[in-house]
Amino acid sequence: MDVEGYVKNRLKVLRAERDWSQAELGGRLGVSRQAVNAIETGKYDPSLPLAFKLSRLFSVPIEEIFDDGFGGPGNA
Amino acid sequence: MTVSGGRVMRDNIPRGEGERRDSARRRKRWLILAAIAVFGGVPAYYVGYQDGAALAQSRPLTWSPTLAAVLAGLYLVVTIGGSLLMHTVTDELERQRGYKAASVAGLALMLVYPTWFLLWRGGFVPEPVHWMLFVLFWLSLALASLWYRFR
Repeated sequence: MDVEGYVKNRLKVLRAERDWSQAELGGRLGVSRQAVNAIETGKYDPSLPLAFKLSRLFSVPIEEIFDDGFGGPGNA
Repeated sequence: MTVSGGRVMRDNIPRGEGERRDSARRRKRWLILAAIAVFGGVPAYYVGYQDGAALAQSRPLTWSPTLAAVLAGLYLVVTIGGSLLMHTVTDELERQRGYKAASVAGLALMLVYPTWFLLWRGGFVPEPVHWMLFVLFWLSLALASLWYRFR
Protein backbone atom coordinates (compact mmCIF):
# COMPACT_ATOMS: atom_id res chain seq x y z
CA MET A 1 0.00 0.00 0.00
CA ASP A 2 1.25 3.45 -0.87
CA VAL A 3 1.63 5.22 2.49
CA GLU A 4 3.08 8.34 0.87
CA GLY A 5 0.12 8.80 -1.51
CA TYR A 6 -2.62 11.41 -1.10
CA VAL A 7 -5.77 10.39 0.74
CA LYS A 8 -9.03 9.98 -1.13
CA ASN A 9 -12.02 12.11 -0.20
CA ARG A 10 -15.76 12.55 -0.76
CA LEU A 11 -15.64 16.31 -0.85
CA LYS A 12 -17.08 16.63 -4.34
CA VAL A 13 -20.03 14.41 -3.42
CA LEU A 14 -20.74 16.27 -0.18
CA ARG A 15 -20.49 19.59 -2.00
CA ALA A 16 -22.81 18.43 -4.79
CA GLU A 17 -25.38 17.26 -2.25
CA ARG A 18 -25.65 20.84 -1.03
CA ASP A 19 -25.50 22.30 -4.55
CA TRP A 20 -22.49 24.41 -3.62
CA SER A 21 -19.91 25.63 -6.10
CA GLN A 22 -16.21 25.29 -5.31
CA ALA A 23 -16.12 29.04 -4.66
CA GLU A 24 -19.07 28.74 -2.26
CA LEU A 25 -17.35 26.00 -0.28
CA GLY A 26 -14.03 27.87 -0.40
CA GLY A 27 -15.70 31.01 0.92
CA ARG A 28 -17.32 29.11 3.79
CA LEU A 29 -13.98 27.52 4.66
CA GLY A 30 -11.89 30.66 4.20
CA VAL A 31 -9.79 29.18 1.40
CA SER A 32 -9.60 29.80 -2.34
CA ARG A 33 -11.61 27.99 -4.99
CA GLN A 34 -8.29 26.59 -6.24
CA ALA A 35 -7.64 25.02 -2.83
CA VAL A 36 -11.03 23.28 -2.90
CA ASN A 37 -10.32 22.05 -6.42
CA ALA A 38 -6.85 20.79 -5.43
CA ILE A 39 -8.32 18.86 -2.48
CA GLU A 40 -11.14 17.39 -4.58
CA THR A 41 -8.80 16.23 -7.33
CA GLY A 42 -6.40 14.73 -4.79
CA LYS A 43 -3.55 17.10 -5.59
CA TYR A 44 -3.44 18.51 -2.08
CA ASP A 45 -4.12 17.09 1.38
CA PRO A 46 -5.65 19.72 3.68
CA SER A 47 -4.18 20.53 7.06
CA LEU A 48 -5.75 18.99 10.17
CA PRO A 49 -7.47 22.30 11.14
CA LEU A 50 -9.00 22.55 7.65
CA ALA A 51 -10.10 18.91 7.80
CA PHE A 52 -11.85 19.61 11.12
CA LYS A 53 -13.46 22.68 9.57
CA LEU A 54 -14.80 20.53 6.74
CA SER A 55 -16.04 17.97 9.22
CA ARG A 56 -17.97 20.64 11.16
CA LEU A 57 -19.30 22.28 8.01
CA PHE A 58 -20.72 19.02 6.62
CA SER A 59 -21.61 17.66 10.08
CA VAL A 60 -19.89 14.35 9.43
CA PRO A 61 -16.81 12.75 11.02
CA ILE A 62 -13.49 13.32 9.31
CA GLU A 63 -13.32 9.60 8.46
CA GLU A 64 -16.47 9.98 6.36
CA ILE A 65 -14.82 12.67 4.27
CA PHE A 66 -11.28 11.34 3.99
CA ASP A 67 -9.99 7.83 3.44
CA ASP A 68 -6.30 7.03 3.71
CA GLY A 69 -6.87 3.52 2.41
CA PHE A 70 -6.19 1.80 5.71
CA GLY A 71 -9.84 1.20 6.58
CA GLY A 72 -11.24 0.82 10.08
CA PRO A 73 -9.78 1.51 13.52
CA GLY A 74 -8.30 -2.01 13.74
CA ASN A 75 -5.78 -0.98 11.11
CA ALA A 76 -4.76 2.25 12.82
CA MET B 1 -29.66 35.96 -16.84
CA THR B 2 -32.56 35.63 -14.41
CA VAL B 3 -35.32 38.00 -13.34
CA SER B 4 -36.03 38.34 -9.64
CA GLY B 5 -38.48 40.82 -8.10
CA GLY B 6 -38.48 42.90 -11.25
CA ARG B 7 -34.69 43.14 -11.22
CA VAL B 8 -32.53 41.54 -13.87
CA MET B 9 -29.74 39.60 -12.18
CA ARG B 10 -26.62 38.30 -13.85
CA ASP B 11 -25.97 34.60 -13.22
CA ASN B 12 -22.29 35.13 -12.52
CA ILE B 13 -22.85 37.29 -9.47
CA PRO B 14 -22.02 35.61 -6.14
CA ARG B 15 -25.00 33.58 -4.91
CA GLY B 16 -24.36 32.22 -1.45
CA GLU B 17 -22.63 33.51 1.62
CA GLY B 18 -19.48 31.55 0.70
CA GLU B 19 -19.30 32.98 -2.81
CA ARG B 20 -19.69 36.49 -1.44
CA ARG B 21 -16.79 35.89 0.96
CA ASP B 22 -14.72 34.34 -1.82
CA SER B 23 -15.46 37.29 -4.07
CA ALA B 24 -14.50 39.78 -1.33
CA ARG B 25 -11.29 37.86 -0.64
CA ARG B 26 -10.31 37.90 -4.33
CA ARG B 27 -11.14 41.62 -4.62
CA LYS B 28 -8.97 42.39 -1.59
CA ARG B 29 -6.16 40.25 -3.02
CA TRP B 30 -6.23 42.15 -6.31
CA LEU B 31 -6.23 45.49 -4.50
CA ILE B 32 -3.15 44.46 -2.49
CA LEU B 33 -1.40 43.18 -5.62
CA ALA B 34 -2.22 46.42 -7.44
CA ALA B 35 -0.83 48.47 -4.53
CA ILE B 36 2.35 46.37 -4.52
CA ALA B 37 2.66 46.77 -8.29
CA VAL B 38 2.31 50.54 -8.09
CA PHE B 39 4.41 51.25 -4.99
CA GLY B 40 7.02 48.61 -5.79
CA GLY B 41 6.89 48.18 -9.53
CA VAL B 42 7.18 51.80 -10.56
CA PRO B 43 10.31 52.52 -8.44
CA ALA B 44 11.76 49.14 -9.50
CA TYR B 45 11.26 50.07 -13.14
CA TYR B 46 12.88 53.45 -12.51
CA VAL B 47 15.90 51.85 -10.81
CA GLY B 48 16.23 49.21 -13.54
CA TYR B 49 15.89 51.79 -16.28
CA GLN B 50 18.50 54.10 -14.72
CA ASP B 51 20.95 51.25 -14.08
CA GLY B 52 20.36 49.79 -17.55
CA ALA B 53 20.92 53.12 -19.27
CA ALA B 54 24.13 53.73 -17.30
CA LEU B 55 25.34 50.22 -18.12
CA ALA B 56 24.55 50.63 -21.83
CA GLN B 57 26.42 53.94 -21.99
CA SER B 58 29.29 52.62 -19.84
CA ARG B 59 28.97 55.52 -17.43
CA PRO B 60 28.92 55.39 -13.63
CA LEU B 61 25.54 55.94 -11.99
CA THR B 62 25.28 57.81 -8.72
CA TRP B 63 22.17 58.91 -6.89
CA SER B 64 21.66 61.55 -4.29
CA PRO B 65 21.63 60.18 -0.71
CA THR B 66 18.03 61.34 -0.36
CA LEU B 67 16.86 59.42 -3.43
CA ALA B 68 18.78 56.31 -2.35
CA ALA B 69 17.30 56.46 1.19
CA VAL B 70 13.77 57.02 -0.15
CA LEU B 71 14.05 54.08 -2.56
CA ALA B 72 15.51 51.80 0.14
CA GLY B 73 12.75 52.78 2.57
CA LEU B 74 10.09 52.26 -0.06
CA TYR B 75 11.48 48.83 -0.89
CA LEU B 76 11.41 47.75 2.77
CA VAL B 77 7.90 49.09 3.34
CA VAL B 78 6.49 47.50 0.19
CA THR B 79 8.23 44.15 0.73
CA ILE B 80 7.41 43.79 4.42
CA GLY B 81 4.00 45.49 4.29
CA GLY B 82 3.04 43.67 1.09
CA SER B 83 3.98 40.31 2.61
CA LEU B 84 1.95 40.97 5.75
CA LEU B 85 -1.08 42.11 3.76
CA MET B 86 -0.85 39.19 1.36
CA HIS B 87 -0.70 36.86 4.34
CA THR B 88 -4.23 37.95 5.29
CA VAL B 89 -5.66 36.78 1.95
CA THR B 90 -3.50 33.71 1.40
CA ASP B 91 -4.86 30.26 2.18
CA GLU B 92 -2.86 27.21 3.25
CA LEU B 93 -2.44 25.84 -0.28
CA GLU B 94 -1.09 29.16 -1.59
CA ARG B 95 1.15 29.45 1.48
CA GLN B 96 2.55 25.98 0.92
CA ARG B 97 3.23 26.79 -2.73
CA GLY B 98 4.93 30.00 -1.62
CA TYR B 99 7.19 28.12 0.81
CA LYS B 100 8.15 25.63 -1.88
CA ALA B 101 8.86 28.39 -4.41
CA ALA B 102 10.95 30.32 -1.85
CA SER B 103 12.94 27.15 -1.16
CA VAL B 104 13.64 26.71 -4.86
CA ALA B 105 14.73 30.36 -5.18
CA GLY B 106 16.93 30.06 -2.08
CA LEU B 107 18.50 26.89 -3.45
CA ALA B 108 19.18 28.58 -6.79
CA LEU B 109 20.96 31.39 -4.96
CA MET B 110 22.89 28.97 -2.74
CA LEU B 111 24.07 27.02 -5.78
CA VAL B 112 24.86 29.87 -8.13
CA TYR B 113 26.54 32.46 -5.91
CA PRO B 114 29.22 30.27 -4.21
CA THR B 115 29.99 28.51 -7.51
CA TRP B 116 30.27 31.82 -9.34
CA PHE B 117 32.40 33.27 -6.52
CA LEU B 118 34.81 30.31 -6.49
CA LEU B 119 35.14 30.28 -10.28
CA TRP B 120 35.78 34.04 -10.19
CA ARG B 121 38.54 33.50 -7.59
CA GLY B 122 40.10 31.02 -9.98
CA GLY B 123 39.96 33.51 -12.80
CA PHE B 124 37.46 31.56 -14.89
CA VAL B 125 34.60 34.06 -14.90
CA PRO B 126 34.00 37.77 -14.21
CA GLU B 127 33.25 38.88 -10.64
CA PRO B 128 29.73 38.05 -9.39
CA VAL B 129 27.27 40.81 -10.20
CA HIS B 130 24.96 41.61 -7.29
CA TRP B 131 21.93 42.65 -9.31
CA MET B 132 22.14 39.52 -11.44
CA LEU B 133 21.96 37.44 -8.25
CA PHE B 134 18.98 39.51 -7.10
CA VAL B 135 17.23 38.98 -10.43
CA LEU B 136 18.11 35.28 -10.30
CA PHE B 137 16.37 34.97 -6.95
CA TRP B 138 13.17 36.71 -8.05
CA LEU B 139 13.14 34.93 -11.43
CA SER B 140 13.55 31.55 -9.71
CA LEU B 141 10.79 32.49 -7.28
CA ALA B 142 8.44 33.51 -10.10
CA LEU B 143 9.15 30.42 -12.23
CA ALA B 144 8.84 28.05 -9.26
CA SER B 145 5.57 29.75 -8.23
CA LEU B 146 4.19 29.27 -11.73
CA TRP B 147 5.37 25.65 -11.79
CA TYR B 148 3.66 24.78 -8.51
CA ARG B 149 0.56 26.73 -9.54
CA PHE B 150 0.00 25.18 -12.96
CA ARG B 151 1.67 21.74 -12.92
